[in-house]
Amino acid sequence: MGNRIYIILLALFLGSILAWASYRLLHTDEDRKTYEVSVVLHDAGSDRYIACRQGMEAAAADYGITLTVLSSTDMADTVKREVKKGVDGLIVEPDGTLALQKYLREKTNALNLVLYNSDIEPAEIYPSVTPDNKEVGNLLYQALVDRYGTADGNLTGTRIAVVLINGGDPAVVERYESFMELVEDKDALWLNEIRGEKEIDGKLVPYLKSGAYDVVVSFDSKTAELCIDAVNEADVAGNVGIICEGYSEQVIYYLDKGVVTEVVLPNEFSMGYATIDALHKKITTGSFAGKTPEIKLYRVTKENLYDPEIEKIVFPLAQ
Amino acid sequence: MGMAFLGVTLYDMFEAQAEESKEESTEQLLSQTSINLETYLRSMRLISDSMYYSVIKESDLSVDTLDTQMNLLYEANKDNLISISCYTKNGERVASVPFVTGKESEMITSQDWFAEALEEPENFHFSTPHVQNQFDNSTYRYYWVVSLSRAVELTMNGRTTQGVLVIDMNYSSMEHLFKKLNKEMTSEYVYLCNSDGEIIYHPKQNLLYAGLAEENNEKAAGYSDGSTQETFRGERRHVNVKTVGYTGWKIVAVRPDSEIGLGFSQTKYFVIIIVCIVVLAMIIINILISKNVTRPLERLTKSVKVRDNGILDENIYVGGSTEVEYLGKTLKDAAEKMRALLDDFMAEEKAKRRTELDALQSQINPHFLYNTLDSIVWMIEADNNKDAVFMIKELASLFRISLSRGKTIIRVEDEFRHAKNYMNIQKVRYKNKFEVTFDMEEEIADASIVKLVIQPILENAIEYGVSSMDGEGEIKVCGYRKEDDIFIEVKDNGIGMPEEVSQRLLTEENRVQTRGSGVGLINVHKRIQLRFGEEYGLCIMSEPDQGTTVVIHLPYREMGGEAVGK
Repeated sequence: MGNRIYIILLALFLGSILAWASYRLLHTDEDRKTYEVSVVLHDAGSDRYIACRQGMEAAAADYGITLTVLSSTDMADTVKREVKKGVDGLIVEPDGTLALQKYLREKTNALNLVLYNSDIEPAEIYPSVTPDNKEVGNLLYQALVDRYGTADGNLTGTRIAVVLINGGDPAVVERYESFMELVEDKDALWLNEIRGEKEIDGKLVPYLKSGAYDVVVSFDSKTAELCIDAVNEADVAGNVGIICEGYSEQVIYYLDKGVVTEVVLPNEFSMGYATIDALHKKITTGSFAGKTPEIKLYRVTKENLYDPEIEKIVFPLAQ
Repeated sequence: MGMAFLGVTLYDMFEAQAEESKEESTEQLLSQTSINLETYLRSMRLISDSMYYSVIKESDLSVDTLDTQMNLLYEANKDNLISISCYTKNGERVASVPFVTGKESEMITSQDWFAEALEEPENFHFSTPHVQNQFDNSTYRYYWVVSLSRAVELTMNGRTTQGVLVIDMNYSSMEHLFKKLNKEMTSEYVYLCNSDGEIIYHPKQNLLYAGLAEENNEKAAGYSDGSTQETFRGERRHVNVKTVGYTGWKIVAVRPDSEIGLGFSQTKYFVIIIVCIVVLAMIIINILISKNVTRPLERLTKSVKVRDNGILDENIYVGGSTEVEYLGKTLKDAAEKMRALLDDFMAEEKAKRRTELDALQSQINPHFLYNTLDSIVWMIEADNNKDAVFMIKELASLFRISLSRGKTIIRVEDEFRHAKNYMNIQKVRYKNKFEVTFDMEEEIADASIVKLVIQPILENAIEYGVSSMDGEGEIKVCGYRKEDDIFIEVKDNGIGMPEEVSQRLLTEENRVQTRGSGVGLINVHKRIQLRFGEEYGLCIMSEPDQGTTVVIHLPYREMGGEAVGK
């Protein structure tokens, strides 16, 4: 009897090992399961997304994710369409429209979604990968003070043009507000806001020509490019500095030439990587940690542009 | 257990061999890559040499330009080059292709490739990958390059001055070489670093720069060529290193031990499956075989036990495999033989009891008893008390020995005494019509004998021999030993009998109740044979008118224990 029980137990044990090994053998590829992810950006073809996309692609390769990168002028519509397609996950750079915010709030638990470079209210709904925009504003202010201010942070006698074109982008607004909060009571001689693209030609260029400004400040790369164009058009390059946020090839080129004084850049490669990382975690475990780990910010000047640490961030290798 | 051990051992052996061949393959791959890279770098050096020795050295820069030859050289190699340029030691541009708009000289002289070239003018200098920072490229493009720089002698107006020639190699050429290599590898990756450990190429370079990954490059740069085991961030890894000639760069192949296991995971599961299937199959086969052997054995054992418990009708199980069947058959035959032997024994014992009972019964024959008692009464009435006492004593002794406390075997001496008692009584009854003598060798006195064997013969001797001889009858009883046998002869000189009669006396046909006890000779013969074997018993020799001799043949066996009578 004892022997029989032993044999039965042994047979059961072997049978379970056999079942487990067979399952593992047939499902070894499950460990390498691939996911389909759509990335919806404002302007995916723009060079400002080069580093970000490289980061996303590096993470996608690590996690077995297939990326589809899309540009969109109507975020809500594009997001709905991708959701309908049945993708495994979405990365969205919010455009600040109510339609998108409303849709995202409705679909709270149904979507594997990560917000890139911005957030929606309330912030805890979806994981988001965004630099500390308040800190960006602060660094822009620091750059301004370092170049034009006194030791105690005063901006006496400085004439500043603050250019805000993309007022619908929550990230841009956050940077602007942070900057303005710091600069408003610093006794700048002139603090002039330029809002909207029309005011670039209508207001900024004439004022630059007239020598009205010492420095132009902007809060995203597209605006920075417009500012560069305005400075070049006004033929005041070298006399009027540009302090801006955001990467683009044009911005870096003019930084190298000395037209742009300083650029505040987040590590966009890390941002791109962290976005995919957060999405993968959301897809596989259903959990997320809210805002991403700290994204490092860099103050890049002509002097340090080719420093080994900076050049690797500013000029990511196309791998 | 054996199978599991075998499976594990074979898998380990396979894994070890696979690792070894993987190791060899990695070594070969690294060697080939090193050769390819060396070839590439050598070609770059050749371009530099060509530019220097064939163009720069042959030119006086005050009258000659370098652009044309430089351009030719560039065009011939532009797949691998970004630019070729030459500078004075102050950083002023002498010539460059394809870009012509250079940056300020301060920017040139501050760059590492420039400074190193002037510091060590006798050597070539290969930089680590960096973004080209020599030209004003209004297309906004930037290039990652590896700069090959060297100090050169520039001739101007007959005077020589130092300068720097730099070949900016397209980093993507090297990148392509290693990307291809890494694509071929499954469980490992390869990177390139300089002798100080600075990364030149790494498949996860951007992750390293962004701080999202780490590499043990600085330590690996210190390893000598060949294979090394290292532990990095808690992970055991196998590292192969190959030094690229001239540059001192290191090609490093890294194979984490965990990746090795992943590569074998399918094989591992397959081995586990095979081992489990084989073990299960062995168990099933064992069970089937056991059932073919064990169950029949159990049935056999059970049937034997039942018989053992006394149920002799139980059949011994015969069945199962050949061996078990044979065993069953043998046991069955043995049981049947035992049964037969037991039956024979029982029959024998029964016969023995019957004959002994018969013999005893004959001694308690009422006729003999009350004839004897009659004689005693007659003696007492005749006031012949002395003879009466004698008769009573003889009778008592006779019965005492007859009973022998229930014993079947007594001493020869006691049997002789019994015979004497009997004959003394018979002599009185027969009024001394015959004489009887007893002659027993002292040697056989203590030998054993079946009781009540002489008396029946004497009875016959009296009845059929001497009873009618009227005083002339003689009966002699003598006992002697001959080797290992005892012979007791009862000889009478009576009327005898024909041979055919004497031969029939000991057969069953002669079992006829007569005047005496009637059982007599056959009973004695049978009892002797039952006790001692068929080679013993009675032998009757007789001739008419010559008398009869009955010989009792026994084996000589000493008696143990006390004598029965006195």
